[in-house]
Amino acid sequence: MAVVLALLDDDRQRGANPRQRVAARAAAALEVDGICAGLGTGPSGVVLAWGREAVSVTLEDLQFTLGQGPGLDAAAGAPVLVPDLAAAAARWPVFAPAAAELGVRAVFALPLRIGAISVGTLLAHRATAGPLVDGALADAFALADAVTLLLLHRQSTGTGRAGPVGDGPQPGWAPPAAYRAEVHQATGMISVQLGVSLAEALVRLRAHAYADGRLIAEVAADVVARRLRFDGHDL
Amino acid sequence: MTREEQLIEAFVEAADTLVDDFDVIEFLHTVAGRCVQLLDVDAAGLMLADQYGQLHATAASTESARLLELFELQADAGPCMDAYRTGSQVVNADLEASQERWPRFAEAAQATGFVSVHALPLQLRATIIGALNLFCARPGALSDADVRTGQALADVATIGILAQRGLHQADLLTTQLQNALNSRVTIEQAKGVLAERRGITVDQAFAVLRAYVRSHNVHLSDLARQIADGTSTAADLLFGPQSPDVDGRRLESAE
Repeated sequence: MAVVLALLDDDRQRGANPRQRVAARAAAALEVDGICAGLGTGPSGVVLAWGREAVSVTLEDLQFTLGQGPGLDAAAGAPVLVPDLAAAAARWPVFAPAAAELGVRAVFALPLRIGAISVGTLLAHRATAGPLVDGALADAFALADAVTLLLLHRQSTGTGRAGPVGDGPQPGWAPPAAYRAEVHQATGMISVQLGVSLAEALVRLRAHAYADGRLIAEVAADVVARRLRFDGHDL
Repeated sequence: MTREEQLIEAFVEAADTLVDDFDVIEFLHTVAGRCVQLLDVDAAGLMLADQYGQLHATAASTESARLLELFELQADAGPCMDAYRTGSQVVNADLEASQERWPRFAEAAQATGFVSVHALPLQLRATIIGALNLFCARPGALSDADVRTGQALADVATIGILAQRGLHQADLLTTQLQNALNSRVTIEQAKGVLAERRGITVDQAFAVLRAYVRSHNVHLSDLARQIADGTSTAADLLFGPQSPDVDGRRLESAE
Protein backbone atom coordinates (compact mmCIF):
# COMPACT_ATOMS: atom_id res chain seq x y z
CA MET A 1 0.00 0.00 0.00
CA ALA A 2 2.90 2.37 0.72
CA VAL A 3 4.01 1.96 -2.90
CA VAL A 4 0.50 2.65 -4.12
CA LEU A 5 0.30 5.82 -2.06
CA ALA A 6 3.72 6.97 -3.21
CA LEU A 7 2.58 6.61 -6.79
CA LEU A 8 -0.60 8.52 -6.02
CA ASP A 9 1.47 11.37 -4.68
CA ASP A 10 2.83 12.01 -8.15
CA ASP A 11 -0.07 14.01 -9.46
CA ARG A 12 1.63 15.17 -12.61
CA GLN A 13 -0.25 14.09 -15.69
CA ARG A 14 1.87 11.44 -17.30
CA GLY A 15 -0.82 9.67 -19.22
CA ALA A 16 -3.44 7.10 -18.47
CA ASN A 17 -1.29 3.99 -18.40
CA PRO A 18 0.65 4.66 -15.19
CA ARG A 19 -2.65 5.56 -13.50
CA GLN A 20 -4.17 2.29 -14.54
CA ARG A 21 -1.26 0.42 -12.99
CA VAL A 22 -1.75 2.33 -9.76
CA ALA A 23 -5.43 1.59 -10.01
CA ALA A 24 -4.93 -2.13 -10.37
CA ARG A 25 -2.46 -2.17 -7.49
CA ALA A 26 -4.83 -0.25 -5.20
CA ALA A 27 -7.65 -2.64 -5.95
CA ALA A 28 -5.40 -5.65 -5.42
CA ALA A 29 -4.07 -4.30 -2.12
CA LEU A 30 -7.60 -4.01 -0.78
CA GLU A 31 -8.70 -7.26 -2.41
CA VAL A 32 -11.62 -5.63 -4.15
CA ASP A 33 -12.51 -5.56 -7.82
CA GLY A 34 -12.77 -1.83 -8.26
CA ILE A 35 -12.49 1.50 -6.48
CA CYS A 36 -13.70 4.92 -7.48
CA ALA A 37 -13.64 8.39 -5.99
CA GLY A 38 -16.81 10.26 -6.77
CA LEU A 39 -18.30 13.65 -6.02
CA GLY A 40 -21.76 12.14 -5.57
CA THR A 41 -23.09 13.67 -8.77
CA GLY A 42 -23.32 10.57 -10.88
CA PRO A 43 -21.00 9.37 -13.64
CA SER A 44 -19.84 12.88 -14.45
CA GLY A 45 -18.71 13.23 -10.86
CA VAL A 46 -16.39 10.25 -10.94
CA VAL A 47 -12.99 11.84 -10.55
CA LEU A 48 -10.84 8.72 -10.27
CA ALA A 49 -11.69 5.10 -11.05
CA TRP A 50 -9.54 2.05 -10.63
CA GLY A 51 -9.93 -1.63 -11.38
CA ARG A 52 -13.31 -2.51 -12.93
CA GLU A 53 -13.97 1.00 -14.04
CA ALA A 54 -17.22 0.39 -15.92
CA VAL A 55 -18.83 -1.22 -12.88
CA SER A 56 -17.62 1.60 -10.63
CA VAL A 57 -19.04 4.29 -12.87
CA THR A 58 -22.35 2.41 -13.20
CA LEU A 59 -22.62 2.11 -9.42
CA GLU A 60 -22.15 5.87 -9.10
CA ASP A 61 -24.77 6.37 -11.82
CA LEU A 62 -27.24 4.06 -10.05
CA GLN A 63 -26.86 5.81 -6.71
CA PHE A 64 -27.25 9.24 -8.22
CA THR A 65 -30.23 8.29 -10.34
CA LEU A 66 -32.03 6.27 -7.67
CA GLY A 67 -31.14 8.62 -4.85
CA GLN A 68 -30.07 5.77 -2.60
CA GLY A 69 -26.99 3.67 -1.90
CA PRO A 70 -24.08 3.17 0.47
CA GLY A 71 -22.05 5.95 -1.14
CA LEU A 72 -24.81 8.49 -0.58
CA ASP A 73 -25.16 7.37 3.05
CA ALA A 74 -21.41 7.64 3.54
CA ALA A 75 -21.43 11.20 2.18
CA ALA A 76 -23.27 12.12 5.37
CA GLY A 77 -20.05 11.46 7.23
CA ALA A 78 -19.74 7.87 8.41
CA PRO A 79 -18.19 4.94 6.53
CA VAL A 80 -20.74 2.44 5.23
CA LEU A 81 -19.37 -1.09 5.02
CA VAL A 82 -21.59 -3.66 3.33
CA PRO A 83 -19.84 -7.02 3.24
CA ASP A 84 -23.01 -8.71 2.02
CA LEU A 85 -25.18 -6.54 -0.20
CA ALA A 86 -27.87 -9.21 -0.51
CA ALA A 87 -28.33 -9.32 3.26
CA ALA A 88 -28.63 -5.52 3.38
CA ALA A 89 -31.11 -5.24 0.52
CA ALA A 90 -33.84 -3.87 2.78
CA ARG A 91 -31.76 -0.78 3.38
CA TRP A 92 -31.50 0.09 -0.32
CA PRO A 93 -34.48 -1.69 -1.87
CA VAL A 94 -33.91 -0.43 -5.41
CA PHE A 95 -30.16 0.02 -5.47
CA ALA A 96 -29.25 -3.37 -3.97
CA PRO A 97 -30.86 -5.59 -6.64
CA ALA A 98 -29.58 -3.30 -9.40
CA ALA A 99 -26.05 -3.58 -8.05
CA ALA A 100 -26.45 -7.34 -7.74
CA GLU A 101 -27.33 -7.49 -11.44
CA LEU A 102 -23.98 -5.85 -12.11
CA GLY A 103 -22.36 -8.73 -10.23
CA VAL A 104 -21.57 -6.68 -7.13
CA ARG A 105 -21.90 -8.56 -3.82
CA ALA A 106 -19.98 -6.28 -1.42
CA VAL A 107 -19.63 -2.51 -1.26
CA PHE A 108 -17.47 -0.34 1.01
CA ALA A 109 -17.98 3.41 1.03
CA LEU A 110 -15.70 5.85 2.81
CA PRO A 111 -16.38 9.58 3.06
CA LEU A 112 -13.51 11.68 1.76
CA ARG A 113 -13.30 14.38 4.39
CA ILE A 114 -11.24 16.43 6.79
CA GLY A 115 -13.60 17.39 9.58
CA ALA A 116 -16.38 19.41 7.98
CA ILE A 117 -14.58 19.52 4.62
CA SER A 118 -16.20 16.96 2.36
CA VAL A 119 -14.81 16.41 -1.12
CA GLY A 120 -16.63 13.21 -2.09
CA THR A 121 -16.82 9.50 -1.42
CA LEU A 122 -14.52 6.55 -2.03
CA LEU A 123 -16.41 3.49 -3.18
CA ALA A 124 -14.90 0.00 -3.33
CA HIS A 125 -16.77 -3.04 -4.60
CA ARG A 126 -16.27 -6.77 -4.95
CA ALA A 127 -18.03 -9.57 -6.80
CA THR A 128 -17.83 -11.86 -3.80
CA ALA A 129 -19.45 -11.19 -0.42
CA GLY A 130 -17.32 -10.84 2.71
CA PRO A 131 -15.74 -8.11 4.84
CA LEU A 132 -12.55 -6.33 3.91
CA VAL A 133 -9.61 -8.53 4.80
CA ASP A 134 -7.71 -7.77 8.01
CA GLY A 135 -5.78 -4.58 7.67
CA ALA A 136 -7.51 -3.65 4.42
CA LEU A 137 -9.85 -1.17 6.08
CA ALA A 138 -6.94 0.72 7.61
CA ASP A 139 -5.34 0.74 4.16
CA ALA A 140 -8.61 1.99 2.70
CA PHE A 141 -8.62 4.90 5.13
CA ALA A 142 -5.02 5.69 4.19
CA LEU A 143 -6.03 5.63 0.53
CA ALA A 144 -8.99 7.87 1.36
CA ASP A 145 -6.64 10.35 3.00
CA ALA A 146 -4.45 10.55 -0.09
CA VAL A 147 -7.40 10.83 -2.46
CA THR A 148 -8.95 13.53 -0.26
CA LEU A 149 -5.91 15.71 -0.71
CA LEU A 150 -5.87 15.08 -4.45
CA LEU A 151 -9.51 16.06 -4.78
CA LEU A 152 -9.02 19.05 -2.50
CA HIS A 153 -6.42 20.49 -4.83
CA ARG A 154 -8.36 19.65 -7.96
CA GLN A 155 -11.35 21.52 -6.60
CA SER A 156 -9.34 24.60 -5.73
CA THR A 157 -10.54 27.60 -7.62
CA GLY A 158 -7.45 29.72 -7.89
CA THR A 159 -4.20 30.35 -6.11
CA GLY A 160 -4.08 26.96 -4.45
CA ARG A 161 -3.69 25.04 -7.66
CA ALA A 162 -0.02 25.80 -7.78
CA GLY A 163 0.46 24.13 -4.42
CA PRO A 164 1.73 20.64 -3.77
CA VAL A 165 -0.06 17.55 -2.66
CA GLY A 166 2.71 17.09 -0.13
CA ASP A 167 3.28 18.95 3.10
CA GLY A 168 5.94 21.60 3.40
CA PRO A 169 8.93 22.00 1.12
CA GLN A 170 9.78 18.31 0.96
CA PRO A 171 8.15 16.00 -1.54
CA GLY A 172 5.86 13.34 -0.20
CA TRP A 173 2.61 13.77 1.58
CA ALA A 174 1.50 14.16 5.17
CA PRO A 175 -1.95 12.70 5.76
CA PRO A 176 -4.60 15.01 7.22
CA ALA A 177 -4.69 12.61 10.15
CA ALA A 178 -1.25 13.88 11.14
CA TYR A 179 -2.36 17.50 11.32
CA ARG A 180 -2.15 19.23 14.66
CA ALA A 181 -5.30 20.86 16.00
CA GLU A 182 -3.93 24.27 15.07
CA VAL A 183 -4.03 23.41 11.36
CA HIS A 184 -7.77 22.81 11.57
CA GLN A 185 -8.32 25.89 13.73
CA ALA A 186 -6.36 27.97 11.24
CA THR A 187 -8.44 26.50 8.42
CA GLY A 188 -11.58 27.78 10.13
CA MET A 189 -10.09 31.21 10.74
CA ILE A 190 -8.82 31.59 7.19
CA SER A 191 -12.20 30.57 5.75
CA VAL A 192 -13.75 33.55 7.58
CA GLN A 193 -10.87 35.93 6.78
CA LEU A 194 -11.10 35.23 3.07
CA GLY A 195 -14.81 34.46 2.92
CA VAL A 196 -14.18 31.08 1.31
CA SER A 197 -15.07 27.47 2.01
CA LEU A 198 -13.06 25.42 4.48
CA ALA A 199 -11.71 23.40 1.57
CA GLU A 200 -10.41 26.49 -0.18
CA ALA A 201 -9.00 27.80 3.10
CA LEU A 202 -7.00 24.61 3.64
CA VAL A 203 -5.65 24.76 0.11
CA ARG A 204 -4.56 28.37 0.65
CA LEU A 205 -2.91 27.46 3.94
CA ARG A 206 -0.97 24.61 2.33
CA ALA A 207 0.00 26.78 -0.64
CA HIS A 208 1.25 29.53 1.66
CA ALA A 209 3.37 27.07 3.65
CA TYR A 210 4.80 25.60 0.47
CA ALA A 211 5.61 29.01 -0.99
CA ASP A 212 7.36 30.07 2.20
CA GLY A 213 9.17 26.78 2.59
CA ARG A 214 7.64 26.26 6.03
CA LEU A 215 5.78 23.44 7.65
CA ILE A 216 2.02 23.77 7.54
CA ALA A 217 1.90 23.44 11.35
CA GLU A 218 4.14 26.50 11.75
CA VAL A 219 2.06 28.70 9.48
CA ALA A 220 -1.08 27.48 11.26
CA ALA A 221 0.40 28.42 14.63
CA ASP A 222 1.01 31.95 13.31
CA VAL A 223 -2.58 32.20 12.12
CA VAL A 224 -4.03 31.01 15.42
CA ALA A 225 -1.77 33.36 17.38
CA ARG A 226 -2.95 36.15 15.07
CA ARG A 227 0.56 36.89 13.89
CA LEU A 228 -0.56 36.14 10.34
CA ARG A 229 -3.77 37.05 8.57
CA PHE A 230 -4.96 35.92 5.19
CA ASP A 231 -6.44 38.99 3.57
CA GLY A 232 -6.49 38.07 -0.09
CA HIS A 233 -3.01 39.43 -0.74
CA ASP A 234 -1.22 36.26 0.32
CA LEU A 235 0.10 33.93 -2.39
CA MET B 1 -23.61 13.09 47.86
CA THR B 2 -21.11 10.50 49.04
CA ARG B 3 -18.32 9.44 46.77
CA GLU B 4 -19.99 6.07 46.35
CA GLU B 5 -23.18 7.78 45.23
CA GLN B 6 -21.19 9.90 42.79
CA LEU B 7 -19.55 6.78 41.39
CA ILE B 8 -22.87 5.06 40.92
CA GLU B 9 -24.28 8.16 39.25
CA ALA B 10 -21.32 8.35 36.89
CA PHE B 11 -21.74 4.77 35.73
CA VAL B 12 -25.51 4.97 35.41
CA GLU B 13 -25.01 8.11 33.36
CA ALA B 14 -22.61 6.22 31.12
CA ALA B 15 -25.05 3.35 30.70
CA ASP B 16 -27.90 5.73 29.85
CA THR B 17 -25.75 7.49 27.32
CA LEU B 18 -24.87 4.30 25.54
CA VAL B 19 -28.52 3.35 25.12
CA ASP B 20 -29.68 6.68 23.73
CA ASP B 21 -28.56 8.33 20.56
CA PHE B 22 -25.41 10.07 21.69
CA ASP B 23 -22.47 12.12 20.56
CA VAL B 24 -19.18 10.35 21.13
CA ILE B 25 -17.06 13.48 21.67
CA GLU B 26 -19.53 14.91 24.15
CA PHE B 27 -19.56 11.56 25.92
CA LEU B 28 -15.77 11.49 26.19
CA HIS B 29 -15.80 15.00 27.60
CA THR B 30 -18.21 13.82 30.25
CA VAL B 31 -15.90 10.94 31.13
CA ALA B 32 -12.94 13.32 31.41
CA GLY B 33 -14.95 15.58 33.68
CA ARG B 34 -15.99 12.65 35.85
CA CYS B 35 -12.36 11.63 36.26
CA VAL B 36 -11.51 14.99 37.78
CA GLN B 37 -14.60 14.86 39.97
CA LEU B 38 -14.15 11.31 41.26
CA LEU B 39 -10.40 10.88 41.41
CA ASP B 40 -7.75 12.84 43.22
CA VAL B 41 -6.50 14.46 40.00
CA ASP B 42 -6.57 17.98 38.59
CA ALA B 43 -6.93 17.36 34.87
CA ALA B 44 -7.86 14.46 32.63
CA GLY B 45 -7.90 13.78 28.93
CA LEU B 46 -8.45 11.00 26.45
CA MET B 47 -6.15 10.24 23.53
CA LEU B 48 -7.20 7.98 20.66
CA ALA B 49 -5.00 6.32 18.06
CA ASP B 50 -5.57 6.77 14.34
CA GLN B 51 -4.84 4.14 11.71
CA TYR B 52 -1.19 5.22 11.60
CA GLY B 53 -0.76 4.52 15.32
CA GLN B 54 -0.53 8.23 16.15
CA LEU B 55 -2.27 9.48 19.28
CA HIS B 56 -4.61 12.46 19.17
CA ALA B 57 -6.21 14.34 22.04
CA THR B 58 -9.96 13.83 21.69
CA ALA B 59 -11.48 15.19 24.89
CA ALA B 60 -10.22 16.82 28.07
CA SER B 61 -11.56 18.09 31.38
CA THR B 62 -10.52 21.60 30.38
CA GLU B 63 -9.91 22.66 26.82
CA SER B 64 -7.13 25.10 27.57
CA ALA B 65 -4.48 25.32 24.88
CA ARG B 66 -1.82 24.61 27.49
CA LEU B 67 -3.35 21.31 28.48
CA LEU B 68 -3.90 20.28 24.87
CA GLU B 69 -0.28 21.11 24.15
CA LEU B 70 0.70 18.57 26.80
CA PHE B 71 -1.17 15.94 24.84
CA GLU B 72 0.39 16.87 21.53
CA LEU B 73 3.86 16.65 23.06
CA GLN B 74 3.21 13.01 23.84
CA ALA B 75 3.13 12.11 20.17
CA ASP B 76 6.80 11.22 20.40
CA ALA B 77 7.26 10.29 24.05
CA GLY B 78 5.02 10.42 27.06
CA PRO B 79 2.94 8.38 29.48
CA CYS B 80 0.07 7.97 27.01
CA MET B 81 2.36 6.59 24.35
CA ASP B 82 3.81 4.15 26.88
CA ALA B 83 0.37 2.99 28.02
CA TYR B 84 -0.83 2.71 24.42
CA ARG B 85 2.19 0.76 23.19
CA THR B 86 2.50 -1.61 26.13
CA GLY B 87 -1.06 -1.90 27.40
CA SER B 88 0.30 -1.34 30.89
CA GLN B 89 -0.84 1.34 33.30
CA VAL B 90 1.54 4.22 34.01
CA VAL B 91 0.84 5.22 37.60
CA ASN B 92 2.33 7.86 39.89
CA ALA B 93 5.00 8.96 37.46
CA ASP B 94 6.81 11.83 39.12
CA LEU B 95 7.53 14.45 36.47
CA GLU B 96 10.75 15.60 38.10
CA ALA B 97 12.14 12.08 37.86
CA SER B 98 10.82 11.59 34.31
CA GLN B 99 13.04 14.10 32.51
CA GLU B 100 15.03 11.42 30.74
CA ARG B 101 12.08 9.24 29.96
CA TRP B 102 9.92 11.96 28.41
CA PRO B 103 12.11 15.05 28.08
CA ARG B 104 9.86 17.52 26.27
CA PHE B 105 6.63 16.38 27.89
CA ALA B 106 7.97 16.29 31.48
CA GLU B 107 9.38 19.80 31.18
CA ALA B 108 6.18 21.25 29.73
CA ALA B 109 3.95 19.47 32.24
CA GLN B 110 5.99 20.78 35.13
CA ALA B 111 5.94 24.28 33.67
CA THR B 112 2.15 24.03 33.59
CA GLY B 113 2.15 23.25 37.30
CA PHE B 114 1.72 19.51 37.40
CA VAL B 115 3.72 17.28 39.69
CA SER B 116 2.77 13.78 38.67
CA VAL B 117 1.04 12.06 35.78
CA HIS B 118 -0.76 8.79 35.06
CA ALA B 119 -1.90 7.03 31.89
CA LEU B 120 -4.36 4.15 31.73
CA PRO B 121 -4.80 2.16 28.50
CA LEU B 122 -8.11 2.24 26.63
CA GLN B 123 -8.35 -1.41 25.82
CA LEU B 124 -10.96 -3.84 24.60
CA ARG B 125 -9.85 -7.45 24.67
CA ALA B 126 -6.64 -7.57 22.64
CA THR B 127 -6.94 -4.15 21.07
CA ILE B 128 -5.60 -0.94 22.59
CA ILE B 129 -7.20 2.15 21.09
CA GLY B 130 -5.62 4.93 23.14
CA ALA B 131 -5.07 6.11 26.70
CA LEU B 132 -6.66 8.06 29.54
CA ASN B 133 -4.28 10.70 30.83
CA LEU B 134 -4.51 12.04 34.39
CA PHE B 135 -2.55 14.98 35.83
CA CYS B 136 -1.95 15.98 39.46
CA ALA B 137 -0.80 19.39 40.63
CA ARG B 138 -0.35 18.31 44.22
CA PRO B 139 2.23 15.86 45.52
CA GLY B 140 1.07 12.48 46.77
CA ALA B 141 0.37 9.17 45.13
CA LEU B 142 -2.86 8.13 43.50
CA SER B 143 -4.53 5.51 45.69
CA ASP B 144 -5.14 1.97 44.45
CA ALA B 145 -8.86 2.62 44.67
CA ASP B 146 -8.49 5.66 42.44
CA VAL B 147 -6.43 3.72 39.93
CA ARG B 148 -9.12 1.02 39.78
CA THR B 149 -11.86 3.62 39.40
CA GLY B 150 -9.84 5.41 36.76
CA GLN B 151 -9.38 2.19 34.79
CA ALA B 152 -13.11 1.52 35.06
CA LEU B 153 -13.83 4.97 33.63
CA ALA B 154 -11.32 4.30 30.87
CA ASP B 155 -13.14 1.03 30.12
CA VAL B 156 -16.44 2.90 29.99
CA ALA B 157 -14.95 5.35 27.50
CA THR B 158 -13.72 2.46 25.34
CA ILE B 159 -17.13 0.81 25.30
CA GLY B 160 -18.75 4.12 24.47
CA ILE B 161 -16.56 4.47 21.41
CA LEU B 162 -17.57 1.02 20.25
CA ALA B 163 -21.25 1.40 21.13
CA GLN B 164 -22.58 0.81 17.67
CA ARG B 165 -23.45 -2.80 17.03
CA GLY B 166 -23.88 -4.95 13.99
CA LEU B 167 -20.53 -4.63 12.24
CA HIS B 168 -17.60 -6.96 11.79
CA GLN B 169 -15.44 -6.51 14.90
CA ALA B 170 -12.27 -5.08 13.38
CA ASP B 171 -14.22 -2.86 11.02
CA LEU B 172 -16.30 -1.57 13.92
CA LEU B 173 -13.29 -0.51 15.90
CA THR B 174 -11.53 1.23 13.02
CA THR B 175 -14.70 2.90 11.83
CA GLN B 176 -15.70 4.21 15.23
CA LEU B 177 -12.23 5.54 15.90
CA GLN B 178 -12.25 7.31 12.56
CA ASN B 179 -15.61 8.84 13.40
CA ALA B 180 -14.40 10.08 16.76
CA LEU B 181 -11.19 11.51 15.34
CA ASN B 182 -13.00 13.22 12.49
CA SER B 183 -15.56 14.70 14.86
CA ARG B 184 -12.68 16.19 16.77
CA VAL B 185 -11.25 17.72 13.59
CA THR B 186 -14.61 19.32 12.86
CA ILE B 187 -14.66 20.80 16.34
CA GLU B 188 -11.24 22.33 15.79
CA GLN B 189 -12.43 23.85 12.49
CA ALA B 190 -15.50 25.24 14.24
CA LYS B 191 -13.34 26.75 16.97
CA GLY B 192 -11.36 28.58 14.32
CA VAL B 193 -14.44 29.88 12.53
CA LEU B 194 -16.02 31.08 15.75
CA ALA B 195 -12.79 32.62 17.05
CA GLU B 196 -12.40 34.67 13.89
CA ARG B 197 -16.04 35.73 13.69
CA ARG B 198 -16.26 36.78 17.31
CA GLY B 199 -12.71 38.09 17.74
CA ILE B 200 -12.01 35.67 20.59
CA THR B 201 -9.42 32.97 21.26
CA VAL B 202 -10.00 29.39 20.16
CA ASP B 203 -10.17 28.38 23.84
CA GLN B 204 -12.96 30.88 24.43
CA ALA B 205 -14.66 29.69 21.26
CA PHE B 206 -14.81 26.14 22.60
CA ALA B 207 -16.30 27.34 25.89
CA VAL B 208 -18.97 29.20 23.93
CA LEU B 209 -19.74 26.09 21.87
CA ARG B 210 -20.13 23.87 24.91
CA ALA B 211 -22.29 26.40 26.70
CA TYR B 212 -24.55 26.60 23.67
CA VAL B 213 -24.78 22.81 23.45
CA ARG B 214 -25.84 22.56 27.08
CA SER B 215 -28.48 25.27 26.85
CA HIS B 216 -29.94 24.25 23.49
CA ASN B 217 -29.83 20.46 23.75
CA VAL B 218 -28.04 19.86 20.46
CA HIS B 219 -25.18 17.52 19.65
CA LEU B 220 -21.73 19.06 19.88
CA SER B 221 -20.63 17.35 16.67
CA ASP B 222 -23.67 18.54 14.71
CA LEU B 223 -23.29 22.10 15.95
CA ALA B 224 -19.56 22.07 15.22
CA ARG B 225 -20.17 20.87 11.68
CA GLN B 226 -22.75 23.59 11.04
CA ILE B 227 -20.51 26.30 12.44
CA ALA B 228 -17.52 25.01 10.50
CA ASP B 229 -19.22 24.67 7.11
CA GLY B 230 -21.20 27.86 7.49
CA THR B 231 -24.69 26.36 7.58
CA SER B 232 -25.43 27.34 11.18
CA THR B 233 -28.09 29.94 11.77
CA ALA B 234 -27.46 30.28 15.49
CA ALA B 235 -27.21 34.04 15.60
CA ASP B 236 -26.31 34.23 19.27
CA LEU B 237 -23.43 31.89 18.68
CA LEU B 238 -22.13 33.51 15.53
CA PHE B 239 -22.50 37.12 16.54
CA GLY B 240 -22.55 37.03 20.31
CA PRO B 241 -25.35 38.23 22.59
CA GLN B 242 -27.61 40.36 20.44
CA SER B 243 -28.99 42.82 22.94
CA PRO B 244 -26.78 44.21 25.71
CA ASP B 245 -29.91 45.19 27.60
CA VAL B 246 -31.24 41.66 27.73
CA ASP B 247 -27.93 39.89 28.13
CA GLY B 248 -25.34 42.24 29.46
CA ARG B 249 -22.88 39.51 30.39
CA ARG B 250 -19.54 39.93 28.71
CA LEU B 251 -18.09 37.00 26.84
CA GLU B 252 -15.44 36.35 29.49
CA SER B 253 -18.07 35.19 31.94
CA ALA B 254 -19.53 32.59 29.58
CA GLU B 255 -18.99 29.12 31.02
